[in-house]
Amino acid sequence: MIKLSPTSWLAIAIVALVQTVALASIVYGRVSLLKDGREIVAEVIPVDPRDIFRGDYVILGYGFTRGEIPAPEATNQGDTIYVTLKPGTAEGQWEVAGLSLTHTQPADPAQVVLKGIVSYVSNPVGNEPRKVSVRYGIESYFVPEGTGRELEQQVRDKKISAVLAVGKSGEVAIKALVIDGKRLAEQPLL
Amino acid sequence: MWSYRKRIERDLARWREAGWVTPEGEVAIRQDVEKGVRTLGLANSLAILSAVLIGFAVMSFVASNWQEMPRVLRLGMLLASLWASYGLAGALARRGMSGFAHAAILLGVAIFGGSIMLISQMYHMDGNVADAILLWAAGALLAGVVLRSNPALAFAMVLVTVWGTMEALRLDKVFWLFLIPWAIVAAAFYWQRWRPGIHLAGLALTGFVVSLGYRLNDGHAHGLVVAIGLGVMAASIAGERLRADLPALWAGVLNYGLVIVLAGLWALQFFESPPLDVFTLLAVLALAILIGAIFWGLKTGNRGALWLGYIGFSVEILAVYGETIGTLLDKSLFFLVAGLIVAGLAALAYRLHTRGEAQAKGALS
Repeated sequence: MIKLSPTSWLAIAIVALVQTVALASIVYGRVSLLKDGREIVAEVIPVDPRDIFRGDYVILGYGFTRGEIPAPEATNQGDTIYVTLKPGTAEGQWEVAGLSLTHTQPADPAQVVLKGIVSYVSNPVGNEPRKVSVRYGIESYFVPEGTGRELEQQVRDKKISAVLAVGKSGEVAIKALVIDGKRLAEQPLL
Repeated sequence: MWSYRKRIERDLARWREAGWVTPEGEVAIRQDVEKGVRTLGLANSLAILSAVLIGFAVMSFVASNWQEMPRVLRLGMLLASLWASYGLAGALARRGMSGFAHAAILLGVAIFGGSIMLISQMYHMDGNVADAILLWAAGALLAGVVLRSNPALAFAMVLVTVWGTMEALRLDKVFWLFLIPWAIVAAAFYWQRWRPGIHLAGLALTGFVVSLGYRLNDGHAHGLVVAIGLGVMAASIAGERLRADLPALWAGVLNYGLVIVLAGLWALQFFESPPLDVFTLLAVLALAILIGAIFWGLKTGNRGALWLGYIGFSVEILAVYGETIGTLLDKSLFFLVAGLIVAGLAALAYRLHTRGEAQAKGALS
């Protein structure tokens, strides 16, 4: 029987170990997603073109998150939603092909499904379907402290894209930023 | 500690009069209590504060030099500081410095939470912050239960409340799931027999019940809140009859019920802008309940109810005054009537008090 108190080394080790496992499982999930996920490139639209490197992170907007998307009737704020994207006219451009509350593999292998959370549902106007805003968890890119301004100079008037890794059930992570065709220096996954 | 010193002062005076303690004994007790307060109380509070500060220091150091280091080194640093804090807690506990040990446990919990945030930042994860908070709360609960640490449990309750609030705002509806982790942490407080923790749980649940009034029925469910609060008060009075051995618990439950009732009544009076007659009725009801609370507090020695009664009464009167209820004449009439009623009650209370004293004297002689 474990003695439950801080004087017991076993109790101490259990707490530290369980918390370590919790942290390690976050890292493991991310690393395996970045390693094994399907790689897609998506053009980034700076949310505020004059000051995109606010402090220590960049807010990234994407073509497919711009504006509101027509959604199924039963969608509520906070729901998990699966957005199917199809390649657009140019490289790095994606268009929304469909929305669903369940995950389904797209028939066309060029398409990709992203898992997101409904951040806002607008009230329907007239007969139009309700529209939703979706967050995918890929809207922030953290940069080293104090380097934001420098990067901002670099990216002004240049084309930025994000390299994303998409997992089997639609989870998505930022792998790297590409500025004018040049991939920003990446660190090893671990 | 402070309340203990106050209580011992009172008791000492009584015991001296009864001749149970010698003057030397009294001086010795006083010195002992004083010593305990000076050294342990202050030292432990400072230790808890220092844990918080060191936690912040570690996080901001790591965050500022973050991208310079390889990821594996950053992860190593986080885990090393996590294990070091818990190891320190164990070492301190073995030396009998339990207050410091709890501070070190709290530091470990802080580093666990900071690690979640910093790992998210490392991999550019921009998900739902509330999920991270819930995981943090689970870590705090684990440390609190396995290491029997009240500060860690208190922190878990704070995190659960933050999580519930964030989810309620994000989902824009009543977040019933809040009740599950709330109940688990509250059970841990009960298991630890830690009274401040039970109060914290009561406070969190009170906030949840009051929030129902703003969420259910399109934000107009304050009547329900009042009903729940009255139910809680009734339950505490019934409970006192059934289980008279837990007076502190029932007194606490009564006070939280009172807070719920008042919050609901205030919302009905000042947010719902009711017609004048309904408003007056509600104001009279609120004042009656507050006077009742003061009476009850005096009768049963429930100081919480007494203070809630006094403070609530003043706030209610001020709020009614602030709210224009028709002409100035109406207003003055309202206050005149209220003043006369309270004066009458004061006279009645005085009479009851003197009669009680006379009876007590009669019983003694």
